[in-house]
Amino acid sequence: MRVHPLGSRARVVAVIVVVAALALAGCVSVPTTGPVEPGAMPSGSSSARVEIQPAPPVPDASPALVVEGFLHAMSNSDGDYAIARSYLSNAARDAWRPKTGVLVYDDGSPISISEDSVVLDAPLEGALGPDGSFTHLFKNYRIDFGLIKDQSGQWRITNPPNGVLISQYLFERFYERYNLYFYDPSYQTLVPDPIFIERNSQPSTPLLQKLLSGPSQWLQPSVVSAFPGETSMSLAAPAGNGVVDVSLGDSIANLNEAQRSRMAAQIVWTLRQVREVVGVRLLVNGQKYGVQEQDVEGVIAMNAYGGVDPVRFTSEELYVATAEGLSVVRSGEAEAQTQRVGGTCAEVSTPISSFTVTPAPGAARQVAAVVNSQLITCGLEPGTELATAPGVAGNILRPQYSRFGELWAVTSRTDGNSMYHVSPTRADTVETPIADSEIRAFRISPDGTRMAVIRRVDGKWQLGLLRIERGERFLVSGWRPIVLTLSGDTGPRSPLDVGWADATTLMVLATEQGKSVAQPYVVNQDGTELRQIGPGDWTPKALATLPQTASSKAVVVSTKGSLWRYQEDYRWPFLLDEVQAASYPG
Amino acid sequence: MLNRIAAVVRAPGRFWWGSLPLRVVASTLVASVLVLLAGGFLLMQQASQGVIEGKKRAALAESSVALAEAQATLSAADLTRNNVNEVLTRLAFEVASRGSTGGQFQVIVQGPVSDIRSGQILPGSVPEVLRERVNRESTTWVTATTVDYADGSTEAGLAVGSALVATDAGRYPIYLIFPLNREVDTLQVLQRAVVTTGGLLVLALAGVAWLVARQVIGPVREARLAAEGIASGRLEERMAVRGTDDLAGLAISMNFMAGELQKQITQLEELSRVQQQFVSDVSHELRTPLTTVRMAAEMLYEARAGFEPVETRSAELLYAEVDRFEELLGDLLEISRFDAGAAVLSIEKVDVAELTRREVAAQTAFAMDCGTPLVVHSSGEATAEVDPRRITRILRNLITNAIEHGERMPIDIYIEADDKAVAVAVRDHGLGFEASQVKQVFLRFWRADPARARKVGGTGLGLAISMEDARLHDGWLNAWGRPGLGSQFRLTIPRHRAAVLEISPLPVVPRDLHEHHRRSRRRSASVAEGKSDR
Repeated sequence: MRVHPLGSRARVVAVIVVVAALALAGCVSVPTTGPVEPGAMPSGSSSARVEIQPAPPVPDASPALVVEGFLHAMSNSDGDYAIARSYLSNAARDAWRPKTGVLVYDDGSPISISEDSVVLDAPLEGALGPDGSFTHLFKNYRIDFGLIKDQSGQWRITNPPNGVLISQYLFERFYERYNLYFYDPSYQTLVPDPIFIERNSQPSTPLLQKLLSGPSQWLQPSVVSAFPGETSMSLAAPAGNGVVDVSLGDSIANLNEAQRSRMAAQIVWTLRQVREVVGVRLLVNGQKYGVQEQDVEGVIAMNAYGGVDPVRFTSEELYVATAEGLSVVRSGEAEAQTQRVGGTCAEVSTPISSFTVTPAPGAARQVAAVVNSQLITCGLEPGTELATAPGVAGNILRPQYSRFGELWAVTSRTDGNSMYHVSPTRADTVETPIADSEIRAFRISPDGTRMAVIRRVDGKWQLGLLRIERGERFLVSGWRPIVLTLSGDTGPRSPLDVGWADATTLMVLATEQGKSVAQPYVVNQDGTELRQIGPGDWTPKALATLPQTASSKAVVVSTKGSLWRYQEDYRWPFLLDEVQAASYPG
Repeated sequence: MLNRIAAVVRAPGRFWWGSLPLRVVASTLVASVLVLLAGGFLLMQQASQGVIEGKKRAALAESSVALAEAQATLSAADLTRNNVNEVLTRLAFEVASRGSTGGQFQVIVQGPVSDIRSGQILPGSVPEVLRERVNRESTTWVTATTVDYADGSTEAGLAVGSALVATDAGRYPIYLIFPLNREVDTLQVLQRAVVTTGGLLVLALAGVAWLVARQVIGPVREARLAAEGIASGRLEERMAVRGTDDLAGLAISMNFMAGELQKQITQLEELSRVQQQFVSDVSHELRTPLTTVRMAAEMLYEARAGFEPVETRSAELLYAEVDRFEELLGDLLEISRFDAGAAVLSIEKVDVAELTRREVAAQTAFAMDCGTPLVVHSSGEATAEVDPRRITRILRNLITNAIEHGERMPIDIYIEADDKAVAVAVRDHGLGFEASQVKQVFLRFWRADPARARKVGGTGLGLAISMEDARLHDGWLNAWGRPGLGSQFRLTIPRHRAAVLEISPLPVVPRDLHEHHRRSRRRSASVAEGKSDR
């Protein structure tokens, strides 16, 4: 008989298997060490989407409950405000026109109930017109809802407001700001037109409907639309993968290529603001509508029309005026270095109180500087001419070259001002509605269509917008004040200097009431969002900005000649000393 | 055709019962799948219970904080200056942003004039029973629910309900809806893991079962081959013994058995050989003295005329018995040649029918002595490759036998041939024998009736030798008999040497049997005519 004991090799294999099994079993445990991985950014409260589902009036509701229900129901426009209408008497139900506009009243304004009436008496924040543009209003609003009992003995409202009435809190939560895009009359650039629409998970359709119905009333004289007047849109439907199908009426079927591209650019730029949209397909009668920029599928990418960006990319070079003259700032690793400019600009005498540089890339760059109450123009390249602008004299504010190469200058006095369009040979006076006000500063928007102005009204400095109409002559019109008020302020803040941060946002140096030091803020052009962006332990006198779509640049010059440069997140590191004035191109 | 279908139908069964490893692996597969299904079900049930229970606790903890904050907001609100709906909306925003930061829950606040809700969930997400409970009692309730969204999608969730109380203003139910999508995801991951592990485990178990079956089946198969080898004569075949387990025991027993068998068989073979040798030697040794005895007997027999009657009879008897003794010795020698395997055929192509007729003619005188007629039924020539001496000896034996036991009834000899074989049947109508004695008649020295007087004096080895002769021809020798119905012996020989017999041209059972009664009647008539006295 032969007996085979377990071989030594088999024994080794068995030991290895057992050890491996134990090791595997031991590995399965919750790790207590590991690599450091990035987490999600903290999300703001706006990420929560809440909607109000109003209920129709309950039977035998008190007058107060009826009014409260009506006020609350106006925050939901579903079915043409069907629920809100159910709080109205029969006559008022048909007469009420909620689309007329939106009145925004202050929070913390309760209704007051007396024996025979329910009244809302509240300060108005502002109003949305039927075109969706927001206007600040500074007045009180009082409405008696005129409650009566209907045939079945229920209290109903007979006197609804003209349009929708909504508290500021609900307005901020349930309305959203978007830009519509139109063209300057020469079709060189798009011009944003901010409007508000009701918060919507599919904002494409209401946005395009607004776009087709034209610019807001205020901006209308300055801009044109590429759409033929009778263009209709039936639907803007998501077609999957982030592409939106836009069905347009056949009135655009016979347009030429340039017209088609302009129209498509307006649509694309407007829908760019909707995060989910990555492409647009135009359809007429269900067929693809040919546009030069589309791909084989007929889809136009969202970055197809960069050439008509309202904010054109220009050089990021920072120029400063010092006791020696004009210099360009070279940012070294350790500290900033300055380098004298060349061309005729090197010959400009000092002191330079303010200056501006042309934004046009490529072309011979020019500088307009205010020296000894005179407007001097020079070139940065050799062989250019050093000239004094004729007819512009006095307290000349910082001049500006617009996007279209025009040089604008303003002279200000305590009893009024004069605005000039300066050409090499002469200075044309431009008509403005604010000619009798003292002006502190002005800046033209990067698209060249609007002008931010700080003027004195009733002894107080006020920021506002004017539009520039380019017809046969230049015309500046349509004063719209922008109130710089943060919650808790006793009065509006006093602006010192202004610049454009992007096509619809301004950067302002402003002083709080009762304080003497100005601080930097950003504010959107309808004044609905004001935000401080820097500390206040300085004494600034002037602001220079470079509008950019992504991250705009800005520097502040102090009364003592220090220069600070803006970086994101509230930081303003010191850059240079002994600076009299600073400017970015444009 | 039907057979083929039946074969196809039976094939799986044959395959199933034809492979032990297959059965072991299949049974293991089925059993392990059942066990894993049951285990997986239990595991998943407990896991989902634990996960949901944990989520419920977390949801209640989270909602207690959120609800406390909401209650604090409501309590702090100046409802004389602020619209309660606005306060509730603000509160809903706060709670919703708290819930959406962690992606944890959505909120529904039931205000006096509206439902304020987040995340596009529909009011139907709150079960009616929960609403009733919250309306009745002021505490926090939790229940499972289906979360319905405005876009039509649904998912499982938990609904926590409570009521916010505003001093002097009212009581506002608030519901926090916790979707269970993460828990469902976790459970799905777990389920996938269980299914994958289970599948792999089943495969591994099947592999293990196959290995085990192989380990068991290998020695069993070896034992079978060894047993077959021993059965086919390879007595030296043995199994290998490994280890000390049951299989080794089987191998040891098998080997022991094979050894014993080999010993016994060798012994028996030896014994048989010695015996045959002994018979052969005795026969040879007896020959010489017998020749002398025979010569003496012949002398005595020839000189018997001068003897007394008693001596005369003795001499005659001696002569006759020496004759018989010589014959017996001859037969014994023949048998021992067969036993020793020394018998050789000398083949010639001859007509067996002619051979038979000649033998019948040779026996006719003896038959006439016994009063037995011999009738040959031949259907023509029946040529075959045979040893005519041995065939003649067979025929002689059969005919002599028939005459001896024929009771003087006629003996029929049938000769038939077909393409492949030649058959000769000798039919007598004598006493016959029991059907059970069909085999015994060919045994050596066997007698149907030992007490019966022997007329012709056969040696008792005739049929045994005939059988050996037939076998030597690769032929058959069959016997048939019934008491009172006589007997029939049939010899079948292949026509050609190499051929193998398949069927005999003549039946074993006599042809005349079913005509037995008619023949009986005819026989009595012929007796009456005086043709025969039998």
